[in-house]
Amino acid sequence: VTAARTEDEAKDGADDARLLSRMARGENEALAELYDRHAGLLYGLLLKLLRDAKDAEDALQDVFLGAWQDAARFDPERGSGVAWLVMRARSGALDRLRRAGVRRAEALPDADALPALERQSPEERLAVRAALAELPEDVGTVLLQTYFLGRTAREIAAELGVPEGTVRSRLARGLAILAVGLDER
Amino acid sequence: MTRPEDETPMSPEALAELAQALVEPVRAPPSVRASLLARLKGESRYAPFGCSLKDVFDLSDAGLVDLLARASQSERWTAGIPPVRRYLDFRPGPAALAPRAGLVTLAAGCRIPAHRHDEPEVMLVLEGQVSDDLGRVAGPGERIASQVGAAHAVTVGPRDATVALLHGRIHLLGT
Repeated sequence: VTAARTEDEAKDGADDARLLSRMARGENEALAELYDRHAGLLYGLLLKLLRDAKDAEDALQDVFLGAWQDAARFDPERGSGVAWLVMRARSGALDRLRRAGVRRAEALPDADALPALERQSPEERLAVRAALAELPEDVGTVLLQTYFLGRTAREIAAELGVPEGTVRSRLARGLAILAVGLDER
Repeated sequence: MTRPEDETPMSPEALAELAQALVEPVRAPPSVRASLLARLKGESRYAPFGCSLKDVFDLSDAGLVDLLARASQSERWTAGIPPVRRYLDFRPGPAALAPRAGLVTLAAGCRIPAHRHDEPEVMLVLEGQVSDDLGRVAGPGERIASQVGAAHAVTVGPRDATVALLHGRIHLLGT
């Protein structure tokens, strides 16, 4: 199963790289195809980060217009197409929040890197994915706010209208579940 | 100031992994896709070649935006004499290698007879394909550059080709 999923991922990655290469040659059909492959994920992500449908729609369009303009700069040796798009979505969301006057912390969030997600072997990635799939939604929201927007527990608490301690405990639960997911392999 | 993309302790691949695991895909309104594709046929049509256009023609950011906007308006183009279907002249920046610049659409299959360049020329292909009798072939995003004194004949591929041309004086050679 792991080998099959790894092969699927490799094929998806190669397909994205081919589409981006065609976009660099000005083929707008390639952008339409890339949009159809990834717009759902990116729009869902932007909705969670921006919490406003109109903002998320505009940001989604900006992600793909930016990708169209910069397709020639995409280097498949340096990362996957989906990661390239996700980073664009994140950067666009941060810009919009900044323009809207939403305060951001000067310091890094109250959490370090998630080493579980930096692991490279296919088995480890699948184990982490299984653990992530089990996360309660409120825990997932805290992880997204922490790692995508760089927010502190205090900022997230204010945004969600819950006590800061609740945010800290959700974050701790998320990290613990991820750690258990790895240990249970 | 730290760039936003640097303000995370995680790699892009790890963030993508997190997004794929925690985010349920949501279908965006069809109007977003339609609007996006409309812009690709308008002012963003040649945007993938923005860096090359700025480089070859020494354009500022504003100059590039202005050129792309003008190129998207058919009334800004002038009808040409065959094999030129239409053209749109623009002013290159001071550091460009030659004094004149234009976007030119050339008819499919046409041949521009042998000529010699008295000034440098760069032909950046935006659509279609062009080749020359020196064996060079260029598709979208690729260039054919000619030095002073170089001579060649150019042939357009099976579709109309639109090129961004940085040029100066040429003279035709005997047929």
